[in-house]
Amino acid sequence: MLRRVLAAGVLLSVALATPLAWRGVLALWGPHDADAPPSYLPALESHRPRRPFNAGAVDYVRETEPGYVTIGDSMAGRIDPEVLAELAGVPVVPLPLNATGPAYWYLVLKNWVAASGAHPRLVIIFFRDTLLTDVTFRLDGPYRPPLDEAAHEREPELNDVVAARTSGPWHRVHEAVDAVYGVNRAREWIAPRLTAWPAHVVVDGAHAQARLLDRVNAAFTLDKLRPIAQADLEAADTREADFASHVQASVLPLMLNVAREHGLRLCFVRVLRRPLDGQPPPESPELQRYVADLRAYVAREGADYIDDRDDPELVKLPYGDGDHIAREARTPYTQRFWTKIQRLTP
Amino acid sequence: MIFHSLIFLVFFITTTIVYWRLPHRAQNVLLVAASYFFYGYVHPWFLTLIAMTTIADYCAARGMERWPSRKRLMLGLSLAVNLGLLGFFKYFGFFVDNVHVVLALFGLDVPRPALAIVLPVGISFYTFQELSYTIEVYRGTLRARRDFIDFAAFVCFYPQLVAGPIERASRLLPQVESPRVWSWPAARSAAWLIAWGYFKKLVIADNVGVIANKVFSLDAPGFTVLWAGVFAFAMQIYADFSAYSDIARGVARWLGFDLMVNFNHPYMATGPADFWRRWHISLSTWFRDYVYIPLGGSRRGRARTLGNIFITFLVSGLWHGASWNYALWGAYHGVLLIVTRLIGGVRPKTAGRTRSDAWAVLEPLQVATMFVLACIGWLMFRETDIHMLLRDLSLSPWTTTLVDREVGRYLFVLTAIYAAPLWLHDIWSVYIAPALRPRDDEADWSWRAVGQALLAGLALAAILVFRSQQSLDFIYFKF
Repeated sequence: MLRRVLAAGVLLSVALATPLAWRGVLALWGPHDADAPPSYLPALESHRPRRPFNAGAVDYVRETEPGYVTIGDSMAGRIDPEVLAELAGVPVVPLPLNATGPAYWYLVLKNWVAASGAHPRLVIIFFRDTLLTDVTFRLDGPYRPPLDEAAHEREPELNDVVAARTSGPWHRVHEAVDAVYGVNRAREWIAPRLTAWPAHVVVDGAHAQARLLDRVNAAFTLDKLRPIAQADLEAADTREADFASHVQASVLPLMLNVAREHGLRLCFVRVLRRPLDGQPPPESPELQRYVADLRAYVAREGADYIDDRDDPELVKLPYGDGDHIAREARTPYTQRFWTKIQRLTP
Repeated sequence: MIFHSLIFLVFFITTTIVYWRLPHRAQNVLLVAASYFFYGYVHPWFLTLIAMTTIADYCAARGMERWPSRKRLMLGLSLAVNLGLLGFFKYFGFFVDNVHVVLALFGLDVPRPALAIVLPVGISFYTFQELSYTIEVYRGTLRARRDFIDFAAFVCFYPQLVAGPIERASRLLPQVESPRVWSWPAARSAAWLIAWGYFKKLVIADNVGVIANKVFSLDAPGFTVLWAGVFAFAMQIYADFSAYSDIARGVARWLGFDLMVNFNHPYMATGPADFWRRWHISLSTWFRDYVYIPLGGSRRGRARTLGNIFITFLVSGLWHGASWNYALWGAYHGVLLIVTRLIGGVRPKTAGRTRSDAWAVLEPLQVATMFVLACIGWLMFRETDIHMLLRDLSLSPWTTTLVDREVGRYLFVLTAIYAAPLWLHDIWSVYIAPALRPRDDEADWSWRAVGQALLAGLALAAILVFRSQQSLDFIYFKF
């Protein structure tokens, strides 16, 4: 029996020790730490060239000295910034970008708005249902370039949140395993090679290979996707909604921290999704519980919360495609919205 | 709970240690408790369904033995409960949508009920497993079980509960009822199966799955890019599903059970019949025994035989999902088999063959042809939008652009790199390993064991670095 246990132990040790070879491979052929390419977020898929940080956005916010700043994806397009500026009598800086997710909204808040030193009356963040606590929504692939423009070279807090979300409550164990075997360095070293090697097989010459990799990236940009993938119908599955289990693995606490540290007042606006037969779309019990928890959490943390479902008049507005309101509805929406935020910032 | 999570590893190690310290009877109680915990971990309400069908089938089978004159009624009750629940959760939305379309054709615009029905994971698998039990008891080839715990353990045995293999009662129940014996060689081979399964899932399936998902999210892919995506999906579904089966078999072996082989190198098949002897074997044999043969099989003339084949594959297609593309996929494979039978000249069977005859020369060509035919089927399987499917099938290789050809070839090569270990393993297993001298697996210590440990270590090394960060669910969870 003892002999068998020993044999099993030796075999297990062989299996567990083999991956340590990565350390040897890296020592021999890998980059030194200083050579490692900067990455604010480990690539979740193939390696792609990175866009530079948009420092101009920080200057723009600083110089405008806005009364209101809006952040979000195309859902924030229901606000007409000119109408809002006219009603409020102060400048409005619209920073939403179509097809972005909470990681982008957090980076914009931290690296553009807070970094500008501006003190608007309100920073308004538009979102749908559970997206504030789903950091993986629109994080990679065609959604990566906008993130590049809002991210610094390293974003450790965002990295932690993504790791916690993708690896669950065990992410510290994953991190420990990664540290023992040198996984992240090996991955950063090997990913661009794995991406480039097929290009060597397909075309000859460094120039042609670089052009091919550009073409591969360009083949999957947002405008090439099917409408259902492109459109804003593809929000998170609300049947899995559980606020308590997702909030700590989300950018929401980070956003609230940034706001506290920089004296910014946040207002989260949950938009009304496309009505069905003149009624707000049905909500699962899980989503109702989620929203109640989110609301309580945001209030506890000292931020404001507006839920468009609470406003029965908004159902009457015409909608365009997906969850977007029609263009002609932007002005009435903005006017109603102004009455609500007036109460928050008299 | 999913196999590729740390919580599962903790669960598995803990329950296995406790399991082997218990007597046989208590082991079965633990198996039921652990399986219910495993299954209800995310959605506890799923447990009510499996508990309901377990009780219903236990009672139905007991009823058949107690009241032989009412056997048919009892079987009807079992079918009604099992297929009723499966039908409601899996096909209700499909049924409503199609009724709505038909009514709209007659100008009737009836509002659709706004029901969001969650498909309980694994319902198609455990329903079929339970049906094998009640049908066999009805036929008299199996006696009804008195011990409810044993029967419940057979139904909910967690390694194969959510994605098979769909075990037959006649095979698994005796294993539940007999005392299990720990075996070091079995544990070692199980560890290798598990490591290989994780490698296939995390390194191959998840990486090529990202490529397939990207291509199938395109609005208008060109010919080469589309078929590169289909190739990626072909590799993904094989790696993904066979990975689940391997992990399930490995985990079961650690618990002293022997589950059936579900995949026997299907892309080495030389024709449609051979493919279905190798792909999802537990399901194809289920349909053979409980649909094809009861329909008359090949006993009622040539025309009826071909009709039975077609019906069996059509139903098999719909088993995979409530969508017309699955029906089309099933029908396509039915037609392939029918055509093969009509042509007749192609050798239908390769398993256990000798390779010395003249046919062996043609075999690589047959394998390649069958792989292409399977890929056409996978396009139907993967593309749920019928309009897009028709568009895809009408694409011509003569109208591609240079960019499409280059990007498509790039994706082909990238997929081939990730899938290379799978191909090599298949070629080794089918063409090389059978010719080698069988080794002694019983030895505690051998170079073969060290080799396996090294290979498992390499699999772990690859998983750590090459695993896709976009962890995808096992594809067959949604069936």
